Amino acid sequence: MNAFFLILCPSLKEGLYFVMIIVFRMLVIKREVCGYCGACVSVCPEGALELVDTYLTVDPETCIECGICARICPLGALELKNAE
Amino acid sequence: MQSKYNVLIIGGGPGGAMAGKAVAEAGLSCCIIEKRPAIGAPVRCAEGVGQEISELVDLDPKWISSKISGAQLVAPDGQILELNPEMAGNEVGYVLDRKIFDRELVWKAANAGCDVFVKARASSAIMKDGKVCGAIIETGGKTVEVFADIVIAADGVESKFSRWCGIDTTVPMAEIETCVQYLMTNLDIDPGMNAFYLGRDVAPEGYVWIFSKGKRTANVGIGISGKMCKDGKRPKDYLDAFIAEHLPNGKIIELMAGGVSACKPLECTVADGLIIVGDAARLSDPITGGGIINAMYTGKLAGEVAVESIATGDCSKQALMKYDAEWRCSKMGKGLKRNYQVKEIFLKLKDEKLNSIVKSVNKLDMEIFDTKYLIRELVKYNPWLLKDIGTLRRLLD
Repeated sequence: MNAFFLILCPSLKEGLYFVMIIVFRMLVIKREVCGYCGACVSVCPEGALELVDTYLTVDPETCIECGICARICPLGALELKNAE
Repeated sequence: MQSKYNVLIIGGGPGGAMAGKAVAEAGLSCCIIEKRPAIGAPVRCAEGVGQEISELVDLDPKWISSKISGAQLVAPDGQILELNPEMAGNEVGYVLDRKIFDRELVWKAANAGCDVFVKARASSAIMKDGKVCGAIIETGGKTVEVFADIVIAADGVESKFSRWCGIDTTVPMAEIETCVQYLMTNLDIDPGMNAFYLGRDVAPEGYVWIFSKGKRTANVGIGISGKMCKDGKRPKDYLDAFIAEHLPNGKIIELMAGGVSACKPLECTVADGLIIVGDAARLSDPITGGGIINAMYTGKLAGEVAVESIATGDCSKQALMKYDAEWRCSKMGKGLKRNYQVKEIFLKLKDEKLNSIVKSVNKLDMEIFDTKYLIRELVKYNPWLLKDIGTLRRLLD
């Protein structure tokens, strides 16, 4: 899971405030669209995807949410979603 | 499943099967593991092969859906270039029935003495001091360790095994052809002809194919560059548009998706105790996307080199380099290198230039059709080819 930190630092009289917005992105596999072809597995730079028989898996610990797999999927079965 | 084999083969496609057969015929113990419950299915292939496949295996008529005597290349402006065997020497081919073909190749390996297990998946590599010694295999709810003198990775485009052994097999986004194919029936086609459609609007940085599967039936598919793929412009969108225009009465009876690498082969296709073959080694043709024959040839070669190396007791990377060196010097290896360069040229061509090439080829004397003649004549009618692209000059020598 990847976190993007957006830090705003309004300098006020009382001191320095940090506002932190964390955006979690995650790869979502649309099972009903996936054609289990494995094209995504071949382009994943981190080796986070695996085709287990006809079931595509993603390891959220390894995935860097780069979106390459979602881009090249022939059927559009992969999507990067903002989780929070 | 034994806990130790001379050779363990990951994947039961044409590459794995040819490797298993070569090893078993030499009298060594070997095992093919296939993660799917069935060999050959689901198909992810246009199934076209050149007739040179008969150099690798005795063809059985029941593997063949259609015999191909010629092809049509359709330019972006609709001009048709006919490639017939009278023109192109003996370049004929077949459209296979891979559900049967793949299964029979594995049968040949099994009959030679190779063990085969389906629904058995490698989940990681067993490594010792940087050397590949076997694989962890998940099968029937159990996890087992299988050791081997040499592991042959024949696990296709979605290959993971080599990666677990520390080899980067990532295909660049611009060099994956992302593909969708329908098996269609009720088509008015010539069963002896295959057709290729080119053009930015038809298939950007790729092509649409119609490969005959016999009477009124064909594999109708498309591959486009991963770079050109995005929401609303995915291969399926292009293919559906093509079918609406060209084959409105066809009925779709099967949907397949796939990825084909059009990159250079892996920098090195061996490691200590490991040989990588076929699509897993990125050996599909960068222009046509064809990979069956390359997988079979390298699978067989990998099996033979494995046998020799085990006989001498040296399964190091250095000993296995014989495999890497041999396929690179082979007709296949040289062809891959040349076609990668040609692909790079063709990707840059605008549709108008492609039209102009097809127009000039149509003027050629097809009695003396060969590649060099073709290129020379092309340059005569399209001198900008040489100006634009220096690489083509080298291909003329």
